[in-house]
Amino acid sequence: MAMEMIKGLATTLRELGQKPTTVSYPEEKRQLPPRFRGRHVLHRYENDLERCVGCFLCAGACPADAIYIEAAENTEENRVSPGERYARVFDVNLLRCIFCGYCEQACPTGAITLENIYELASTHPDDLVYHKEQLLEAPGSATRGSLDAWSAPAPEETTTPLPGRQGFFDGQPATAASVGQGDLPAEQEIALGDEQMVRDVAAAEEA
Amino acid sequence: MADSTETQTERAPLPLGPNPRFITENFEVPGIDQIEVYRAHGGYEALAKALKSFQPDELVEEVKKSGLRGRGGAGFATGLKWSFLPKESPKPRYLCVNGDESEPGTFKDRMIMEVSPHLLVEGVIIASYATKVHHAFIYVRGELLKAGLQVERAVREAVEAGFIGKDILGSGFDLAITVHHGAGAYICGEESALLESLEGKRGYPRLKPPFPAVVGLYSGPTVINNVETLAALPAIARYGADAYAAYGTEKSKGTRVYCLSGHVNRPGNYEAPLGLSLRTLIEDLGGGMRDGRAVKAIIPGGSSSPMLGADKLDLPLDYEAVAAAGSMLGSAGVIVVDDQTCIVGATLRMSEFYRDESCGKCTPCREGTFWLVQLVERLEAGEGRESDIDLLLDICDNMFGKCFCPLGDAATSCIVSSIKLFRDEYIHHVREHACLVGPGATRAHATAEAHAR
Amino acid sequence: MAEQVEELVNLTIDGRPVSVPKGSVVWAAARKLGIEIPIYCYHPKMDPLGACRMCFVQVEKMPKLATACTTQVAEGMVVITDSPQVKKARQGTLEFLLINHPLDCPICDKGGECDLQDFTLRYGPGASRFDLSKRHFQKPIPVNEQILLDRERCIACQRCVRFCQDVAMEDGLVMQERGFRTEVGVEPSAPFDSIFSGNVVEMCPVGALTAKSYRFVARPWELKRGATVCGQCAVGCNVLADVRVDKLLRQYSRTNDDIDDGFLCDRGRWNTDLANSPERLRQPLIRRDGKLQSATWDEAIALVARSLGEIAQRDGGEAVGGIGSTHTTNEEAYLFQKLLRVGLGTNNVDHFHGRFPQGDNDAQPWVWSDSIAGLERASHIVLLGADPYLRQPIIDLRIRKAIRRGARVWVVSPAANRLDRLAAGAIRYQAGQVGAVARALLQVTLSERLTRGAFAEQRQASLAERLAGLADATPEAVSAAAGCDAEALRTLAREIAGAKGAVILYDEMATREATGETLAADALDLALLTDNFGRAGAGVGPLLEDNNSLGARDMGLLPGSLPGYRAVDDEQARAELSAAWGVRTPEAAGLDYDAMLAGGVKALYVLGANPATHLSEEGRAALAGLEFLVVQDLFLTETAKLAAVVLPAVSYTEKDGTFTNTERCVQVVRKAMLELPGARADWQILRDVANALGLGWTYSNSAQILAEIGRTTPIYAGVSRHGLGQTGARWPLAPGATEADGQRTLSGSPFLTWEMLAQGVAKGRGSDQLALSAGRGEQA
Repeated sequence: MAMEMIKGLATTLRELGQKPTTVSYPEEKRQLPPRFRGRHVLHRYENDLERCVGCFLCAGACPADAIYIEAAENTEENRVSPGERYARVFDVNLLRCIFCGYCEQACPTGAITLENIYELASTHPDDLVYHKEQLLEAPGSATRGSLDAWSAPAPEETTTPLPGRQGFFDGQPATAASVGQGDLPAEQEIALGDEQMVRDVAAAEEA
Repeated sequence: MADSTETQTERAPLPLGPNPRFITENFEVPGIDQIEVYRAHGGYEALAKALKSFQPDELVEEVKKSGLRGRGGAGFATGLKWSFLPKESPKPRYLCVNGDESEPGTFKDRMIMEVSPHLLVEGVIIASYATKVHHAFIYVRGELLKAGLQVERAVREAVEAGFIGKDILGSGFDLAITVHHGAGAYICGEESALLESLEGKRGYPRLKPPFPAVVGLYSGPTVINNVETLAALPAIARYGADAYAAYGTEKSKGTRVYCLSGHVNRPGNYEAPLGLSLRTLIEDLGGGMRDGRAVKAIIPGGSSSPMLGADKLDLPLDYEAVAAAGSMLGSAGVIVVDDQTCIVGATLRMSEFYRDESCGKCTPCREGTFWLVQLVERLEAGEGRESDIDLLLDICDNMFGKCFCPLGDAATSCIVSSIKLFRDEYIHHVREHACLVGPGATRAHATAEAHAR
Repeated sequence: MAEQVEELVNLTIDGRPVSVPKGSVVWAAARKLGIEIPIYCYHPKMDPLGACRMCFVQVEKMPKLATACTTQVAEGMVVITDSPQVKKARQGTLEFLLINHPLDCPICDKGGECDLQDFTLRYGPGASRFDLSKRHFQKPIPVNEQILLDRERCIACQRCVRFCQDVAMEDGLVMQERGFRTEVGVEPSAPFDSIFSGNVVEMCPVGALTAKSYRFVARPWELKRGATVCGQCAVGCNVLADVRVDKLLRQYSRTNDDIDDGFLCDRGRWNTDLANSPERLRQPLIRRDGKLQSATWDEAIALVARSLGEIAQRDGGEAVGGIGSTHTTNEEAYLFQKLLRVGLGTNNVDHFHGRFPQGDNDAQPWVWSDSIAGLERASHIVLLGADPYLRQPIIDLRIRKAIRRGARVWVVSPAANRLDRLAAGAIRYQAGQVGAVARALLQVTLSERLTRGAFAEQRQASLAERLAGLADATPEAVSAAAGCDAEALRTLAREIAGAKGAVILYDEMATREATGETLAADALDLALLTDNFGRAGAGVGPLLEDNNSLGARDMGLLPGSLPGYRAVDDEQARAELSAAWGVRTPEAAGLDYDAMLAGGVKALYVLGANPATHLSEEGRAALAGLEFLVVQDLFLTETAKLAAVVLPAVSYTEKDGTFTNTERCVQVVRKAMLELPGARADWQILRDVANALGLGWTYSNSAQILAEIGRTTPIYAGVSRHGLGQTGARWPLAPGATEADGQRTLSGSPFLTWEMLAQGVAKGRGSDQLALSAGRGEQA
């Protein structure tokens, strides 16, 4: 019994002289690893055009449904990004975000990365929906962000896993060719109804 | 096959001498394109004989007996083709003459139409009579302006002379002939695309079946024959099927007009019996190779047929023998290539032709020819890789047999056969960045240095 | 329908046996087995082309690979769809397609529902070996007002071109250039201005043709695709209403072969204003100090109930009236007339509709006796004053299909019609004279003794009298008055009388023209007397105006008829309804639409209608001067501006219910998006008003109302959402077998026979009046 107590105490004594592992935030700040996933940043090209083309892939990949985009078309007078399309609205709801970094993985142009920005507290929920203007790099300061830390090239033999044979995005067999969807199984009766309603329907039809 | 030997022996006496000219007999006669001159040399007598002494069905039998085969490329038996027409049909039946001769290396139909258009017209009337057709169309390639005008004039003259129209020569047979000028598309030489084009649509090949013999022009039963095929009919009518069949080989009977081109001393059209050897054609008729050079390759049937090496010089030029050698007699457009020719360059030129002439209907041909040209171009320029050669073969494999019409298959033949025969030359282009022979060989040092840097 | 038995062919695909009708292609047989064979150029609604070379399969005993879309099935055929050769060929084709296809999927509107993407993932090579230069074109160019063409993405499958030429049979997209330069384009002299143009966007297997209105607004994977029915016209095409968050973006076809045949018109596809318009009402309005001001729902409902109730109490139910809608669901129309009949004790209920002859009452099923699909079997199609291209476009498209199958179409119209070019004959008349033309056709039929069939035989005696009544309608007289060709009228009448099957269609609104009063009756007689009735491919009827024009009539939005065309004084019907509703309905017929608006009532409930547009200045003033006017609508319409209370309702994409299209097909409408905040479905508003009147209605969803309709309306007997299924059923309906899960199926009637119509034909029909004067539509 006493032996065990001494053992425990020894551990305490041993650690007593060590440097603390905590830091006294906010006076002192921790050095973060380059792959730390904090708040999103939207990047630009060297010529200040935005990298984001408003493709919605990050929103599609987001498991928390935290990203909302509205896309629009570039014109000669108003060129925002290269090509035809840009994001007119780009909102990230950091209250929903789980900082998984899937958006970064999904992005075909390297436009969105998660950076070392972690001081995200606020007393108003609205403050935590970041808009495009807040997420975007300032003109003239184009970087690739944490992409450099992530983008060690994949080994040559890596194969991209293919999605399952049947239906990739919407569960319907190859959509445009699926003329003849009339014989698909019935949709759920009331797509947006509440459960009570669904029960009522069943009851009514039984009657 | 006891019969065959018998036929061989029967054939021994050649009725018209060893070297008859069924088609080009009077081609040297000045003014043979005029109806008076043509008639003075026995023109339209064969028609009169055919109308008088044959019922249509007998004429079909006669042509079957003559062993005449399609001279357009596929070599299908003409009489058999005619007999595929349904006996009864609610729609009128048509004869279409395929004068859209655009196969590179082929220029026989052009000569027939330009020099002796009445021969064709007479053949058309005989064929129409045999197939009970009352409206025939002659589709002449648009670029062959003179040929088209000659045929038009010949038809006009024949109408005036009473060979076309109502109750021809008192036989009770009616016929109208329309001459149509194409708008310039290789694909319209494909029979169903020709029909589409005649109907005023885009020249796209049609889905088969139904075959044109059943549903053809304006949905009527249609027979489509090549110009040279029909030009042989007057001779068959005049001399009889047996006389025609006495020439040629067992399965390839009669004579052909060989279009000899390339590096020979006397390129041109030469009519000779089928089964003539390549060597005879080149040495005797063509006057040997230009500048005494050696033969490197021969393309025996227009650019769509795979090329053959110099070892095949003794090959008899008939349908079966050429097929057995891995090529095809096709349109008998014999292109001879000498040993100072860069085969990659020649292949590139032919590939470009197929890229530009692909109708664009089906994917493998439209995209495949586009890709092939870019690859061969790269190889020819000395910028290619060795893997490109196998890639070419794989693309050809993805095209061959998978295109909508034979044009796609044809586009692969020059590439596949040239790689098979001259792979070293391709590799030389890759390694030395220059041609093995010809003017391109001298640029070797400049480009090699450029690549070294 | 007695179809001739189709000959079946047995074959094996991937070792699994299947039987399909003779003449089917291998692709269809594989689809039946659930085996996917990738296709680009093939489209089940068009002839095979065989151009894309994607659908290769291996067929035993065939030397080469065969294309599944062009190879017809044969007895004993053995097909393999996944052999190494097939896989290589498919990979080869996909590689070919991709060498010139830009990889701009992230910004392509088709990305996510693109066949090239999907099939490349499933069958394609993992990487391309093409490292040379692609073909380039200018990025999108417009091909018409609504569609953009990106030629780089085009894979030249020709689906769009074939749709324009073969299906729509109009100018439009054509193939241009050849070889690798092949592109789709429009000839400058032949603009692509068809109302069916949007179908090419849906058909395009890649993103070459995209819609301007849908450009960059959504990606397919985030769309909620509500399987519903289009509410833009009386055809009732089956659609997927594609919604992103709170906006309806487009409607795509949900292929119902019997109605839309897989195609939509541009109006249905892209007109999303009903759901999305910023003009939509978002809260109830109450007139205070002469101005409409926002109010809460509770206030508004209470005020409506109090005002209507008080006036009905004070001056009797006759002082109150209701004008219903041709747009709302059957359930809502049913509740509306029930509210007026039960809650307010009046038969003053009507809606804006065509003029149909009235016998003892107006309870007459003036409907198209045949169906849209039946048009394909017709030998003759006669359009009397109808222009389906403008009003019911998909019916126009079906008529074109009938033309391809050999039908002769006669266009009888006051103005040029898009079908003229394809028609066997066209007769022009001065506007307003359509009724005279119909009378002339009947006159010729009778005077030239062209009648035939049992119906005419049985009525030989009265034919002379009917002819005498048409003395002023000889072709000559009519041609003088209407400015049309007398001989053409005779020819047409003879063709109808000699037809294997003629379908005679007139426009509902043409009956409102000057001479249109007798149009419906004359057209019906014309069909009946020439034996063009009572079978598929022969019939007569109106082409109705709105998505639920017929449902409104069926549900009894008529002053003289209860739901199901039973007369308001029909004792049996009243007894049955009082058992169901707990109240006896008034016996006297109510005021009709015009009478109500001409000052016949003191209070008016207008639901989804806009009568002010049909009224003169004085009429509007009278409307504004009503003691109480409540309008329930999506927008602040001309009528709503005059109202005391305005209640905001929702569009068809925001609620559940059923619509009945112009060919009697009852179809399920499914909620595809949440209601606009502040607005409510009409049935909910009606329920709340009824409850404020103390009626104690307990409906909590539209299915309960539908179940009640199934009990109270004979022609809808046993109707249920489950029974209507994905494709709907044509009334008269009858409950069918019970399925394993306890759900009842429904059986419908593809066409009406004379006997069905005549059952219960009312008393006292004059012998000179051949046309039905009443039909109760009770069904066995």
